[in-house]
Amino acid sequence: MSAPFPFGFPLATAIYLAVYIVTLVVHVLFMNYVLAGSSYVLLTSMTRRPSESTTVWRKLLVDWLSFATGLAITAGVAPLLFVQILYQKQFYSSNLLLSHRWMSILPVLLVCFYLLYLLKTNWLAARGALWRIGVCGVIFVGFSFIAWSWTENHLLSLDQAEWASFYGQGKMLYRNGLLPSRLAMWFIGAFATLACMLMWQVKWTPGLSGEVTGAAWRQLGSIAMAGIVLAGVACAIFLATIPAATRSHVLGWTGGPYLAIAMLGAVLQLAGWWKLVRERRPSTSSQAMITAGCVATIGGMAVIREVVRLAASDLPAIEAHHREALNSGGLLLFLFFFAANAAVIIWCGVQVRRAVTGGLSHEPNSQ
Amino acid sequence: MSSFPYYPVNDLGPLMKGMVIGGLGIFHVFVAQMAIGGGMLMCYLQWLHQKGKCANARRFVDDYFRVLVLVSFVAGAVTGVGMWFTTIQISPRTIGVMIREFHWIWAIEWTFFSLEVVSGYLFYRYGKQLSDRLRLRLLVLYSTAAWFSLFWINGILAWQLTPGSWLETHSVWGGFFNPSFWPSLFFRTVCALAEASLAACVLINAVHGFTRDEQAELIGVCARPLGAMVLMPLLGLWYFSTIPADSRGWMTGGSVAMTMFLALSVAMSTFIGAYAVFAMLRQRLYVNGATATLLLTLAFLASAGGEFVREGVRKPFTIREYLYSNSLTPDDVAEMRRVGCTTNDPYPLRLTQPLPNPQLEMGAHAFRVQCSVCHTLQGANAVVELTATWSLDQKRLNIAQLQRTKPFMPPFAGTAEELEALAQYVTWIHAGRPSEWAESRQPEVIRQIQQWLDVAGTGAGTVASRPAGSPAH
Repeated sequence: MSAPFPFGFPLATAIYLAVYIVTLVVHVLFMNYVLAGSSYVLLTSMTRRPSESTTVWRKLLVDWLSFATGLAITAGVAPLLFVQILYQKQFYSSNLLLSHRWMSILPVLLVCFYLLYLLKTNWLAARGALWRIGVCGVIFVGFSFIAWSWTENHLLSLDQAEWASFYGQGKMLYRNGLLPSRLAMWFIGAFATLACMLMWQVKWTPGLSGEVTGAAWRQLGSIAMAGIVLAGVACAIFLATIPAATRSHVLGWTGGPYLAIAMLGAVLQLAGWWKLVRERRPSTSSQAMITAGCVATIGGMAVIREVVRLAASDLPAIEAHHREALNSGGLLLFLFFFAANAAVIIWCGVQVRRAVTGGLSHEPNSQ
Repeated sequence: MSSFPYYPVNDLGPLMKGMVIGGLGIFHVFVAQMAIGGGMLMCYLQWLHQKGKCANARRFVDDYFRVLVLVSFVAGAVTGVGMWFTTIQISPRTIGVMIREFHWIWAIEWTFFSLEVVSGYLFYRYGKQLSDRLRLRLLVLYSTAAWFSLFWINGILAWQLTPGSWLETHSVWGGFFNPSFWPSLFFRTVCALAEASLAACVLINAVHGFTRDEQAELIGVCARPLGAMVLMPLLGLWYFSTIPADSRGWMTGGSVAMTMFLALSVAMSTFIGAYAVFAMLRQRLYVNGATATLLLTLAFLASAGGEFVREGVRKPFTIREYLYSNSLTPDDVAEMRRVGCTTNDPYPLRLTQPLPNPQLEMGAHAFRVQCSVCHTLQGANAVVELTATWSLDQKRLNIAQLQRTKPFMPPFAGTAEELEALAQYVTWIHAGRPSEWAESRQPEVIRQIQQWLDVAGTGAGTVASRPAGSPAH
């Protein structure tokens, strides 16, 4: 681990790491939307007289959170696949050690998913505020539980020395000092991603930009900027508390350039949001700054996440496994179908958008 | 040192691990197949609408799709991921090998699944605002993507039972296009069509706003894909002919559970097919909600029986001829006969109370490593119950020659001392778990066990795996 990620690794390892990071970033985008979106919806459901700004974002989120959850799950399949190639033993061992929590994710996800559809129904709208708060609360708690479980599971996978005693004592919880800062970093950072995605949703949803006032943009920008700053603080605490040997990889040649990219991305986002708030609407330049910054920050932090994990891994053993895996065929066919199906997906989106905007009013189906 | 990857093993109490993954798997397969068939059925309905051959087809497509999204997109997608989660819990090594060999195939399947989700959701959300032409295109894309998801996953599942030339070449395509690939694919496609048709019949009765005549017309149209069930006997026989001889033997009487489940599955499918052809298609009977629900339930049970048999006849393997049900390869068995199955396991026993002596601890440990993936101690498929009438010597002999005691069991993978410890552990439980229990380490007993182990060898007990000229005992 002496060259920028992933170039310091053998070819097979570098390929799987690269594919994993790319697919993970896509998953994180949708995951952040869902995590921060469900938090926002819960908070605003508790407001007695929501402002116009709050209403517009809440309406949009309630409308799209179910699909975003579907996309987050779909996009999560690919990194879930590649993580099993990259870190098979660590991943499986921690899942088995935290078995009860890992398996609880499924019913929790199912309940949250259906409640998101319920949130869109007239049936729930006709009920009192307590019902809506209750439903939003269950969704929020459910997604937070999944985030917490995943973080704890990830940290346990890095702590191989702990596995045998953890198992022998039949522990249910893995206590690790890194957990609060790591969870906070991803959770709070999710709000900046949410804001960025909402900005694009407004642009792409026909007829919606007129409904978003300057105050609403200011609210969104404030949320994003607060998210970036607080996530940065959590990140600093996290980096200060990881073992010194791991930190040297993060700050050294392997992770250093990516940490710089992530920080640059954060600065770019802050500048973009500041510009947007001052202008009270998005411009091409603010949109570009925010978007590029968001992708850079998530991409950079995704790499840092892996550098931390690789520093705790038995590299010769996992590299041998990657070499063996790369011998199996199908990579070229995957690349072909990836490109082909991505093109068809884009075609679907373009065709539907053209049809919806071409003379027909925007009237989404309500459930 | 053995290369066997030890993982922490969880005890599910009286619940057999196979029941957990089997239950989830059956539900997921049924829902996923319903989505595939549903896509094809909706293409057909949309096409009928565009040709002016079914007045209510378009409206029903919108209603059906909404249900399909709620059932398939949500429950199907979550249980699909859940299959990975659960397989990791039950047999991490099995899923590890499958991922290692077929991860690019799985990644290809993911691209189709993504297309299925996006095209499906766009139709769900904007379908009513789209032209008929674009609606049909989206539906065709949706159903094509869904069917290709089946195509790719089917290859991996079929490979587990009939790995084909992969065993020699380890070629991913040799394994993917294995002997049972095509019959399994076509059989599942017919199942998907049948399940979707029956689900549509349930829904037609449940949707408000259609008159009785409109419902009857829609049921007549939606029942048409059930006609494909006439191909099931031929496809079933084709599939049957491609699977290993001993697996066929268990289905046809060698294992009464397999035979019964197969017979029930065939009987229910025959009933549904006969009802569809003679009542719904030829006489155009009206099918009310209760009948449609009953038929759909029978289809679920038929599907469950079929999946149970497909999983069951792989025994004693989880990947035929490569990986035994307890996640050991034949090489691991040979290695563990020398060094032991408990020696290198880094995970200690999780005991609620101390055992009377170290030998029993070794026995409990051997049970965890080798038996617990398929057996409980005192629950479903319990070792204690299965061996309740065996004497101590019988236990020693039967476990030492396990693959011959029962051909769907893998060979014992451990030293003679570990086998004796396991026999003692089970006997101790039979005796009511007394607080005092003497160790049994007589050299002549260990020598006898070793002799039995050597005679049985480390191969499987299946007919195909038995070396030529080997005594059948």
